[in-house]
Amino acid sequence: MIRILFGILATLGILTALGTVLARNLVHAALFLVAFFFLVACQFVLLEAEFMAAMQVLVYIGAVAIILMFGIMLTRNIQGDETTGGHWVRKLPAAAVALGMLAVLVAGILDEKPLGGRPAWSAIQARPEAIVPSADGPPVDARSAAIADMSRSVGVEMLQRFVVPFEIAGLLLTAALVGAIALAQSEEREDSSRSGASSDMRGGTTMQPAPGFGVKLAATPNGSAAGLSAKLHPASDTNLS
Amino acid sequence: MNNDIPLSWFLIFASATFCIGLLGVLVRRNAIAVLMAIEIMLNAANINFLAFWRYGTPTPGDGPITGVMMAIFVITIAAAEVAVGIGLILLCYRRWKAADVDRYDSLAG
Amino acid sequence: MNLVLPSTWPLLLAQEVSSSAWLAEPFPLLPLLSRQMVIYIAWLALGFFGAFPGIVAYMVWAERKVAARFQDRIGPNRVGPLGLLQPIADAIKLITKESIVPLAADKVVHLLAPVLILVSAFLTLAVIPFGFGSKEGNRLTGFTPIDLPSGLLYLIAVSSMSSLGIFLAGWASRNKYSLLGAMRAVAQLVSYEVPQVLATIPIVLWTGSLSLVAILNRQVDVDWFLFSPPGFLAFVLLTIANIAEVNRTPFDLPEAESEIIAGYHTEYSGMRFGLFFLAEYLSVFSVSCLGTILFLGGGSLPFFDFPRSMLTDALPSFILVNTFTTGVFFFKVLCYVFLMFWIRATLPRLRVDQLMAFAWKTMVPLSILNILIAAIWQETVFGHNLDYLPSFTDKVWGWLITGPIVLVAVIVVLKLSRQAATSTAPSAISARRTAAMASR
Repeated sequence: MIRILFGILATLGILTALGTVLARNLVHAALFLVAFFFLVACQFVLLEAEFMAAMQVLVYIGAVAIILMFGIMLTRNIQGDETTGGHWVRKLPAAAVALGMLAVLVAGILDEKPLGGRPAWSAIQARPEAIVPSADGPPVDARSAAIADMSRSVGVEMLQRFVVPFEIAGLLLTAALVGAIALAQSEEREDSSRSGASSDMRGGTTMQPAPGFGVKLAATPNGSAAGLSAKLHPASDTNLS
Repeated sequence: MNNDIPLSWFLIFASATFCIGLLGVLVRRNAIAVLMAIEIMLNAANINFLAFWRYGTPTPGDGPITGVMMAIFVITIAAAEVAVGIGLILLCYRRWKAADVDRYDSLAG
Repeated sequence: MNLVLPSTWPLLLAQEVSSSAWLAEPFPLLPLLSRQMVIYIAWLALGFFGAFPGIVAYMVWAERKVAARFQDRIGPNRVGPLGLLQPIADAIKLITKESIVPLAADKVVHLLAPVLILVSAFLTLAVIPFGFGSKEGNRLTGFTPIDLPSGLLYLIAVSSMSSLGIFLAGWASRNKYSLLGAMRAVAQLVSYEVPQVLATIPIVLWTGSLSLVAILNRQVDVDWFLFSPPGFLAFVLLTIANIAEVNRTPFDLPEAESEIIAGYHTEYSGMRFGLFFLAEYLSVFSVSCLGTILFLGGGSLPFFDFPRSMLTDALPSFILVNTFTTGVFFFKVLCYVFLMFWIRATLPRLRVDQLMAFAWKTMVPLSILNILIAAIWQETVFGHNLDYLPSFTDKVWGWLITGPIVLVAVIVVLKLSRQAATSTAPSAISARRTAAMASR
């Protein structure tokens, strides 16, 4: 039964991964990617790591997919169609490389020679039994405790054994945040200069360059911007159907 | 529990998705599509980490959940990589007016 | 193959089903018709197909009534007594209306988007403990579909899926206003998710677990988490972020009808629009449940050891206590929902740059400071041991120490963010910068 479930999930996972790689429309590719992330989360549940499944959904579907969508919106035309792409013959070498890699990996997995008295990978037919810990029962091994409450185990490990990698990961994330903001800043300088040029080209018209998010506000030096905005957006509506 | 999933199934699934990701990196020309393919490869690695954590015999002194911790760090780094990668792609797009990786050839002789 | 007589095979089937081999299926993931499976099916049939859509329908009715009273009107009163049949009439209208798909739209994604949002709204309800179940030792189990050990993380994860659905709805419609609404919505949802998650960190700190049932148990032990200065601040922050997460008025820019028609669901009609509607009110319900569980103690009563002292192993006590606690829980959720209606009927809509500045310059610093204050409360009141039950003097000391700090933090952050707002004039560029920041 569990094998059939794995088979279904794995087939769907491979199909969605292929869809990501082969779909011509970039937004469709991103959607296939989201489905693939979700199926990987399902695999994590099969591996009894539902904390990791929640992490997968939170980080990949909630953040990475959204960033990718934004990237598609900001780089290509709004339809998301990929206009470039070679003839399929030119893709044959790449496909050959990928298939060869797959053959090597599968052969390696099935033919693995174990080290140090451990069983070979292909010989492991079932996972080690996990004991459900109870309050008054005997203490269980670390893996069973982790399966029962993984967030606790992860927290303990983060602050004891993996404290240095944890700090480095935090530093990395901060650096990524700062880097992303720096890239966005340079983007605006270029944007504002470009829009200024376009308004120059329009000559004597007093039109404002169209802002991106529907906020029409000139950067006035004193506080009159607030009054202007109040005029532009009068009262909010509280009427209901 | 004799109808459990063998370890090698997970490994073969992971290597299949890894190769699909590799194919995507080689075939796609759009930089964002390449980024997506890299995400597929990272996910394949994560499946392997978790499968070995669940099925393998832990080495004494290595801690109980080393595989899970590695997967968490992979996820962290993937998130950071996508954020910076999209920023770079946007900058390149503005300079070359294209998001195709083979157009970024200013350094080619 | 021999024909089995028709009169005997149901008996055989019943024997097969009721034999212990079926009930004690070895692998825990796919038990066929085990007790747990029956419970899941009951939750699905009664809760997810019955009660929750009904709750949503009558929440719409309540909102219209409440808003009408705020505006000195009567509200729906034509269909049935007090307009009570109005939701049913609306549902029939939505189902029978034609579902129009724009010619240029991406057909599959256009259909997928509302389904994705609805699925995300339904999935959040799967871990919410609506009451207290039975007692295991000194620990109460929740009256919940599933008690995940990392339930809070799961809840945040699946509710973050809705922003993807909104984005797809805007993209697939091929409509400027839809896309504008979707961009606004995603920027807003991603920005306000940060303070929403940060506001739940004090609870995790005080409980030492991500399980919602463990959080409820902890609140039966010590008091509701609302009754502490950092807890109150976190509750206020979570409520504001919740209102922004479900796109309700002061934060309804994604669907601001005076600016961008209806935002991301401009091109939807008929039952597809109905799905958006259902999902919106369902997520209002689920964030209200979240606030109730994290800060208002779920189905427990304040200052009492109530469900634990009353609950015994007997079935009548189980039924009585669960009916009562579920009633208390829904009363609290109702109060929370009324608070959201009240805010909606009172406050005007924010401007985009104000919205982003409020999230990043006020709420995020406050919630980060609040985590530090929560750690002080943990040290002074709960001590290092998670089993320690604080006495009255502990709490008085905690209030005396953390109360002034919370006040000072709120005043300082508000003043600083106001200075920042007046020194730089708001412009479209700064709004876009914050939106771009939010998207990363």
